[in-house]
Amino acid sequence: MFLDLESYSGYQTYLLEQPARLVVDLYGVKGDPPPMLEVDSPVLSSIRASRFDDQTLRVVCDLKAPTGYQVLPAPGGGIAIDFNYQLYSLALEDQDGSLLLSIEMSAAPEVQATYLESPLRLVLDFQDTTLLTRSFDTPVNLGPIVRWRVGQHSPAVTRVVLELAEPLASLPVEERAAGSFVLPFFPGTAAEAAAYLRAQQHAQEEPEELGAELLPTGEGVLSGLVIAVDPGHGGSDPGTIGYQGTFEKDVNLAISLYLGELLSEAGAKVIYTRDTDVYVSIFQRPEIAMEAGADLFVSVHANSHIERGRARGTETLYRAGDPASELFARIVQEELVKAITLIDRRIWGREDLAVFNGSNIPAVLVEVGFLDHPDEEVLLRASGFQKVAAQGIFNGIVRFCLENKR
Amino acid sequence: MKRERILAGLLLAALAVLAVRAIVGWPAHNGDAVPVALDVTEPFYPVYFSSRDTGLLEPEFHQGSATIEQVLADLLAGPKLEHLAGVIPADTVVLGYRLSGETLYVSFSHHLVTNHPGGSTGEILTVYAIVNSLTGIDGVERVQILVENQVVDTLAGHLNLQRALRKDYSALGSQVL
Ligand SMILES: [Zn+2]
Repeated sequence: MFLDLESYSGYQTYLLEQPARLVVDLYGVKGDPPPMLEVDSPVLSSIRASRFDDQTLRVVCDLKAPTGYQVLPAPGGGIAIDFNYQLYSLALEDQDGSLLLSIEMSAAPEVQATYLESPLRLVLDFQDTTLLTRSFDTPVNLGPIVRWRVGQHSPAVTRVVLELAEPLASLPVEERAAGSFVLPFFPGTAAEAAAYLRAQQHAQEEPEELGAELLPTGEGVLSGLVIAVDPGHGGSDPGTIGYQGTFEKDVNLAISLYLGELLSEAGAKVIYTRDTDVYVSIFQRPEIAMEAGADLFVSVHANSHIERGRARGTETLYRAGDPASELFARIVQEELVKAITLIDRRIWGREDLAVFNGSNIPAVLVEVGFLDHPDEEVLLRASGFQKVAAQGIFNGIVRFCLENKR
Repeated sequence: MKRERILAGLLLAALAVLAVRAIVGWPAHNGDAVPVALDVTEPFYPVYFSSRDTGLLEPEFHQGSATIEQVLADLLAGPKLEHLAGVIPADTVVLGYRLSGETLYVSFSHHLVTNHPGGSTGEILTVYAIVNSLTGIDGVERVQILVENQVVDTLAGHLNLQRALRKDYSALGSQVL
């Protein structure tokens, strides 16, 4: 709020409750008071001015709730009053395995995150914010969070401190509804969270680029194609197992289902060799694809080295001696690495993989990352990363189909 | 026969690398005599392990004439060079073998499957360490891996093990060659 005054000799402010209002008495101001102003703001509802005495103009700001403020005399005359945003409530939530902080606030928060070690903690400073709930300090047991403290750190900053057992990073705040926001957490360090965000951005930019080029008629770019999506392992065969106990079969299925959704949206007919946690023999999988008349075969896996934790990165295997499969692998690998930004290991022609044996359509087996590497396991088990991986593979399929003119 | 010549060339290059390393002096594993001071005028044979430098297969050369029993024992015993890692899962034993024509059938205990970490990379390293090592023996062209005396579909869910496999040098690190 800015009070445009030609001259004044001083001011005094009072924050009053019930109803919440800020009173500003301006001394040495003459003239008639301006009319009342209705305001559509997250903080203010109206501004009234009246003459208190012949030397003093009283300005009353009706607030939606009591809040912090700063009075800033402007160098060119007049007074600016900055009201803090109001933080009504905070809650930590676990939504389908993803941790987030849900925030009820008068406007989108500006959060400054600081990660501190010994003890491990994540400090979230809400800028220009007044906390309207009571401060608290309480133990919790939510993923890596063992305790959290919330309080008004300074007149303009509300501080949230999360004590951690393992690294945790904050992701950008998202708006869910008017006045309702969430701050998602990423299970990893800030650097890993940044890599994850970059990957997500890639994935979001890519389809737009392609979409503009590919969909001149609005028709599905993959319509008419039958694509076999093969989530590796399943049922009694868990595949490789990560340090945190992540089963490869679950990662493979999650990425495959996301991939299938994207392919369907683009008009393809999707054939899953499995779409639940069941055992399907590796010899049956290409048969399922061939019986359905599939044009392409994509097997989705997560890798492991014989020496656990040694290797990392992405590789795509293809049917050796088949130029179409090799081109398919090259493009899928390129797009997937672009999307998830893991190390680009190689594409590798193999004639001994069972899923390549039973068909002659372009066939690849994608090893998205190494589940036996602790850093990559963190990524592979995160649904956000799984979606980005699916998007990367999808982009590769679309590009291959275009470059091959079907 | 061109392929044979290329392989011989590669082998000599590998020997040159080993010779240099031998001069530098490699610490021995378990205090064993390290067979890096290889006498190339006497017989020697390669046993394949996983390189900690490249993550790929790399041969360790042993002095003597390769026999099926000796190569299998070498594979199970693991590498002597410190920069190499074993490729056979813990507790695995060989239950028996049979040479039929040029195809060698080797039966391993179930630990080969149940103690294997998995992954196509892990599976390819284990399988081709076995196949490449055993096909270095005269008269062995193909190797079929059996588990508990049975033909199996696969070791870790990627490779087709229903048939015998030939040697594959694509799992070898180019750094070795
Ligand atoms: Zn797998």
